[in-house]
Amino acid sequence: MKTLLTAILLVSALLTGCGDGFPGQEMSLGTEDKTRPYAVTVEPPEVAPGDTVTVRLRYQAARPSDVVSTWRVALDYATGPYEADEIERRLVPLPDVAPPVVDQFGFMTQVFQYAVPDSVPLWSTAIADVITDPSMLYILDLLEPDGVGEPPHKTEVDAWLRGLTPDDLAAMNPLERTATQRLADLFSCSIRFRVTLDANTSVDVTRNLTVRYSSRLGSDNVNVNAEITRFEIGVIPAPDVDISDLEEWEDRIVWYAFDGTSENGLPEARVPNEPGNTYLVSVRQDPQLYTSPFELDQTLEEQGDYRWYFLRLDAPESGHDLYVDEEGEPTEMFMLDEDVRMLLPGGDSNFRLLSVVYDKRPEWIQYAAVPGATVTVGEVVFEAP
Amino acid sequence: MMLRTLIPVVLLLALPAMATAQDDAPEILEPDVAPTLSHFAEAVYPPVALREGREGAVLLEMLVLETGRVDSVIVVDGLAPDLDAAAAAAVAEFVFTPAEAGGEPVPVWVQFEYVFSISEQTRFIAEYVNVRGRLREMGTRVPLAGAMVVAAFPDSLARPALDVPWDAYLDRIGHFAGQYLEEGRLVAFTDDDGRFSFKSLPPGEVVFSFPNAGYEAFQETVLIAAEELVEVDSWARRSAYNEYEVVVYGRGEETEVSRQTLSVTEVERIAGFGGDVIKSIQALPGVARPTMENPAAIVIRGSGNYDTRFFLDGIDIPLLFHYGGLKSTYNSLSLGSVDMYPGGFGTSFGNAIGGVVELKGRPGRKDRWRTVLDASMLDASFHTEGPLGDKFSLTLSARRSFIGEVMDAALSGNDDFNMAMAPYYWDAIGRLDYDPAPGHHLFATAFAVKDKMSMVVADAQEGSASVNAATDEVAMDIRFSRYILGYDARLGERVQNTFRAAYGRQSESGHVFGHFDWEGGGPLWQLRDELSVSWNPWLATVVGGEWIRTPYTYSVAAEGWRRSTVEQTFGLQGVWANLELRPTKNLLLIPGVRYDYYDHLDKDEVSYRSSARWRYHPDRSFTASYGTYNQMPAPSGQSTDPVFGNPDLPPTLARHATLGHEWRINDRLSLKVEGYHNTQELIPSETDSLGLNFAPDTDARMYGFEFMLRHEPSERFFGWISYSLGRSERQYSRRPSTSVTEWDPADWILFEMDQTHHVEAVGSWNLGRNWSFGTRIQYVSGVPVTPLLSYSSGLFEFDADSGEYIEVGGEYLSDRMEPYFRTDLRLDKKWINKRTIWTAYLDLQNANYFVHNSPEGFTYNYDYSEREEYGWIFMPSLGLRVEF
Repeated sequence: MKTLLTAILLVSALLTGCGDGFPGQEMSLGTEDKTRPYAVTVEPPEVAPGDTVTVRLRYQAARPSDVVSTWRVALDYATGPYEADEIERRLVPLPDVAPPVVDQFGFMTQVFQYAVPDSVPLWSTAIADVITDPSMLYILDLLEPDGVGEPPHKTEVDAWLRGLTPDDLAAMNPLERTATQRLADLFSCSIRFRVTLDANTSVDVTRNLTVRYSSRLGSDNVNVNAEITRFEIGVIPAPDVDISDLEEWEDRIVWYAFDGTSENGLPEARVPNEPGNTYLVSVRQDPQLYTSPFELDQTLEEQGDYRWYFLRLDAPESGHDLYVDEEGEPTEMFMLDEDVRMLLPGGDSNFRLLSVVYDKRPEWIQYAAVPGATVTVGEVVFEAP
Repeated sequence: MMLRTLIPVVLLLALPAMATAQDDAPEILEPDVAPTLSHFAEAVYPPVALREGREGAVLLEMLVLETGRVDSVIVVDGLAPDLDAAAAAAVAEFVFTPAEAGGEPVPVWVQFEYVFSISEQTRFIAEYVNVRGRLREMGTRVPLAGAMVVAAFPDSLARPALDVPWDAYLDRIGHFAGQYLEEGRLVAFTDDDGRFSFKSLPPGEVVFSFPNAGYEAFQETVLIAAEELVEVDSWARRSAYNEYEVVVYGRGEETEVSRQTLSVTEVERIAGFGGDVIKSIQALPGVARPTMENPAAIVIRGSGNYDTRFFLDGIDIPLLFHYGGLKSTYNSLSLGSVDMYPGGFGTSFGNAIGGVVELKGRPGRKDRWRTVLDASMLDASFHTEGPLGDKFSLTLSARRSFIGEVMDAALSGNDDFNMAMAPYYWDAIGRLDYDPAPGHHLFATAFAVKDKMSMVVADAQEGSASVNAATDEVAMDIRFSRYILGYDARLGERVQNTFRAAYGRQSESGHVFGHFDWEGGGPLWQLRDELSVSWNPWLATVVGGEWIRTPYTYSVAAEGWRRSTVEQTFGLQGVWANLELRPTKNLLLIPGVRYDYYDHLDKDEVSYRSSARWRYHPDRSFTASYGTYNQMPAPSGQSTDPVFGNPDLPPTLARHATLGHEWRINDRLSLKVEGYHNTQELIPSETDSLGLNFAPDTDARMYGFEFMLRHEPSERFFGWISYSLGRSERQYSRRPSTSVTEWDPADWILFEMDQTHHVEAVGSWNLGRNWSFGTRIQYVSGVPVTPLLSYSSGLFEFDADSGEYIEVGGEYLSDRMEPYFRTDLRLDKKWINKRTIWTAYLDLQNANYFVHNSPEGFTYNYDYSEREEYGWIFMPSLGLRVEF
């Protein structure tokens, strides 16, 4: 009976009007005549007004020399719960960005530094001119800061937070100090970097940056980019192992670290390609703890969101789908997690693997929180016996 | 058997001549006084003569002595020896009062005509019932009242010996009360209970036939034995079956000018609706074809999805359909009719700016208890109804889906689907009706609905655990109940009152992983009363009021946003008044006014509505209406939520204008055309840029033309062809979507559900032998879509906060999907037994899938540069129903 029911469902699925989808495309770099951005990292991922950040754009392009990048920054970026008509105002060009560095495989990196204007919170639509946020009002009621009236105005709160010194914080009792840090966490906004990569196609890449006084006031909610604690290739001595069952194989997995250096100057792992094994690549981060903006005594752990890319260095246009699902079929990016099964081509092969780990704090979206992003790159040589 | 049928004719003649001729005979004198017959002796009708049908008169002469005794008998004019002898023998036994002459008794010759009459013999046939029967409809067991029953006698020539000739016998019993003779056959009719009887049927074989319109003719042969009562139980098979036929068409003049009414009969066997009457409103003119994104949507004349209000017998219900629009929440078996008001509706309905759908339950039938069990691939249902004494009737029905169990069983242990699903719905209806007196009707309805769905994706961790801890699950639970008390009273010849009181509860909860979480619930109280008074032929008034209170507590959380927990009373108080003016016999004008107060908004609105109907021909009318309308901001609750909405939103306003023409072409065909022009203002639209979440700054305008040619149910066919030509546009004050790059606030932009052409051809045919076939063919313009520049122009946007590409839209809703074409087919076969009707049905939705599958939308690749079409699947459904 179960077989019959399964058959009915499968037939029904087959009869849907949907096509086969586009598995494998997104993860594979270098197989399309496109400019493929895959990460913009900002170090640090949040800053106080007036601080400087390092912005690093990473992309891969089929025709690197054709790509023209144009940078701008929107000093007022805000959106609401419906993301209906987001605000991206006060666009400022960034003309002095250095040209990107490119390698032989079309991987490009463009880096620049940017000093966030002091006035960002004052211009930002994300913080209302008159504070109405219940959490901020609660803390302001508790602290009764000097110079902040009733109702409290943004300019008053900004001036008070900006004017706090380490001595002021030290003079506060622990509750006041924590409340002040929480107020700084909530009094947040963001700016948006936007780079347009023009070549045969045009790609706009956006990256937001959280701006608030938290880092200046020692808040333990300050976000840093994820620290990667593991980036390794795993080999399971059995075919077609379900990646979700890794714990069962923990003692028998052979791990290969990227402890060498490739001829391209990247970390390299050399792994024997033997039939009958299951191969995977794993990445681990050290998630930070943070508190909820709504329940101050609630401690949460960052969530990781993993994006995986690859390029087959020895045959860039082979079209081989490296990342696969549990059935060994090409998969979609959204299906990938921190452990990804790989289906190797026969014989020797050489891949560049890229992992972008986003550390999400979903509770802070309302307060302009932007995930940090960490890119890990390595090259792996699979060697046939 | 010889019966007394002799009618003597006595001729007394003095025959002195004869006396002189016979010397030894008594002297015959001229009598002064004629003899009188004092004792009549009946002749024995010779059986052979009786059977042979010989009859007539025998002329006799007899000598009546002075003692009064008959001495001699002479046959003067005979018929046959046996009859002559019988007559002579009888006459010989006559006794007379002697004739007298001179005061003395004297003998005389008397002439006497003895008549043998067969009809006189049949006078003695006894009248008694020897066949008794009952005629009922096969399957439904409904007694057939006034039905004809014919008794024929195929072997009349071989009848065992009757004492009288066959024809005489038949003629005689044909005159018995309750039966009559027609062309050699006896005819009787059934009473109100379907019972019939025949009297004095002769022994032997009798063939009963039942030739009644609407039923298949059939015969039953019964052997009649002497002095025995035969019981006959007869079942007539209808030419076409529809057990739950409810006729709702009336020839009375309607006061609503735009109403479309559908009955259960009409729709149940039409393809594409799965036997669901309420779903069929999606095929009526003015109603947009729902898309896959919201298959339960009722979008009327280009209004929003939230602009149509649903009622059950005058009481609000929140949901018309179970999730996904698979089935309506109210079981069609308990439904009387569905009224759909696409616009221009009267003042009775408030808080709606699009349309109104009103479900009307029905009383349980009182003739007998009946039950229906139905099971399909989707769900199973139970329905029963019947009388409780003379004045009460009860209806009960319940339905539960089992698609969840089917899916779960299929997915369990299947590595291809790493998820568990458990969707189900159920609904239940109970209704008690009471007719205390003519013109008064009370009913109490209990109606409860539950939708529950859960899908667990193994190993998934989506969203924030602080929103919902089950980050691997999508779940939903919606339930509501309504307990309605209705009292319809005719308070006089010209006064009618309709009263409704209702209590209910509704709750909903659910979450989408850890992205969204919501729960809420509360009671509903509703009172509604409408009083109609017809003052004279030219003037009637209608006044009414409704009071709704829904204290609702809810809590909503979205990933990254503060949870909103609100206790709020959503309330509406409305009063209305209409005049029904008839300045001429054929012109009806209805001006009306309605006042609404929205509790939670602390705002009120007055609306003015008027309609006119001019019947310029007995079968043709012009109609027109104009009115203003308002409703609380939509989505209700969400749009005025302090965190996710804007508590200061005002009611949304609208204007409807219609002009139409109705033509009843004949008893079966009717044609209705109507044009409309509607506008809306203060529509809440989502916004980030204003920091309000919702701002009431979008306007709408809709205009169009509708056509409906309807063939009302006949024995063989029912169907309609509808065509809607319309345009629905919005004017947005702000950018309507983040993905849109081209937009101007001055532009009128197509509404996302705008469908220029919408053609529906719907039909159901009875094929005979209890087969029926139904089809529904749709042709609808594709819905507007925003062209993606990523697909068409090589413009992309990569969101480096998430690592995902986002859509880059061109001119907002400036393109359309391909036209939508779809054919649904349905085949029904009934097996009629005496006490049950079995029905098997096969419903093939989107039957054209294998030839041409209309696209509903596109799925795109990661950067929106490639796309594939998607559309409805081919949806076969097999079901079985038994009615008894």
